[in-house]
Amino acid sequence: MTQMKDFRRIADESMANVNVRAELKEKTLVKLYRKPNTVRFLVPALAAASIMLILGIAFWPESPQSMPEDGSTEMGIMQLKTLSSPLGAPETSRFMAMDVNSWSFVSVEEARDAFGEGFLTPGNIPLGFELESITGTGTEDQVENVTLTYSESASSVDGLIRFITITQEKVASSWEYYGFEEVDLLGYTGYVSASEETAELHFFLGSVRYDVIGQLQKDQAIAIAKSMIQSTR
Amino acid sequence: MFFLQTTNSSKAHLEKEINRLIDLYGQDVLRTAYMYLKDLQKAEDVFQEVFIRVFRKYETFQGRSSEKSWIIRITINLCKDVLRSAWLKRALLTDKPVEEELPQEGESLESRVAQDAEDKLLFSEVMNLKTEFKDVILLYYYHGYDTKEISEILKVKEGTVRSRLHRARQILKERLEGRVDFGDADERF
Repeated sequence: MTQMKDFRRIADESMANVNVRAELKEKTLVKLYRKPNTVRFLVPALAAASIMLILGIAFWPESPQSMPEDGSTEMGIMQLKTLSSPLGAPETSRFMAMDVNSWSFVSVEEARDAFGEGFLTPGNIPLGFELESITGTGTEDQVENVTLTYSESASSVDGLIRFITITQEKVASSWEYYGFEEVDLLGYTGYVSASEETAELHFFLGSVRYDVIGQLQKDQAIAIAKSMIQSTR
Repeated sequence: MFFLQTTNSSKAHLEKEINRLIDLYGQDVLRTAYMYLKDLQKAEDVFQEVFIRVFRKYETFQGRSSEKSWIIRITINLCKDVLRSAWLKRALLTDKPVEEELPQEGESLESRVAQDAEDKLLFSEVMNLKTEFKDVILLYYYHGYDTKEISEILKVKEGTVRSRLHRARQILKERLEGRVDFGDADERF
């Protein structure tokens, strides 16, 4: 006989693999500052730019070195970078000062062309998964990241449709994922965290971060990552 | 627990508050979303949207209810929005109830394995309830709210909450062939 008063424990045990990952929290916090704060941070940026321009004009004869070489507007944005770095992640700062655009691509080739150097084509996608969508975000006409979403073409035996997302994002620098297992990816370091049903793997090549996340096994995530690196050789 | 510093809207304060809210309620938000959507990816999407909305509406929160109630209400409403979307409806139509764990007749219910199977079956049946019944079961048994609090979260009369709870229990009893004990709940409602 099952006790309904134990439902909380029963449900939590059944969802032992459903946890707030550090990556999810990080993504959420980055999104918070991308979406609503565009206008909020544009205003001080423009104000700062205006002030710098006025100061620049006022002191031009006395202090020509006070102006940045690339213009006062950039100076405003540089100042903004210091103001708006919620996570200390350098790659997010640029988004905060500009409007974020999103794209939907019809093919991997189109996404590669838009993303440019560093785009890797994944192989070794687990059997049964099909490419469902290719989306991107960025500033102005620059695509900063591309996400390929794969879903199972048919529901699995447990009735759930599983997803794998592969994201490639331009970053200013790489970092380590603490608490993740380090794995060798054909000479590059990958950071993997996995449970029975889900896995997430991150690695860096040059100035791009790659994420393989979804309802897949750790070995499958590693195989996908290796296939991406292999595609560069 | 209530928001105590709603007048301080500085960026640093908001950052700290959102971090605190995610740490405190993130797991409940994610798992609640998962129980509605039965899909981790979608649950994570809802998770992100919940905290984006909390962030946007932070200054308008009046502290009339607990912050957890407020966040759980946003979560439930977002899940219902997702469930209403045509795309997910199509995906969910392919869902099959999990039945393989049902203990066979004659199998000992005293054994741990059978008990685990019954627990999983209960969880599965709750996941498969219609939304209006799932609402009250999750809020009552998972989140531990009383019927008055549930009525405030769902914006329905307390009597409606009680009748939905009663009906939800009946459904679960039928589907589990009586192998679920609600304690004294039937007497109370």
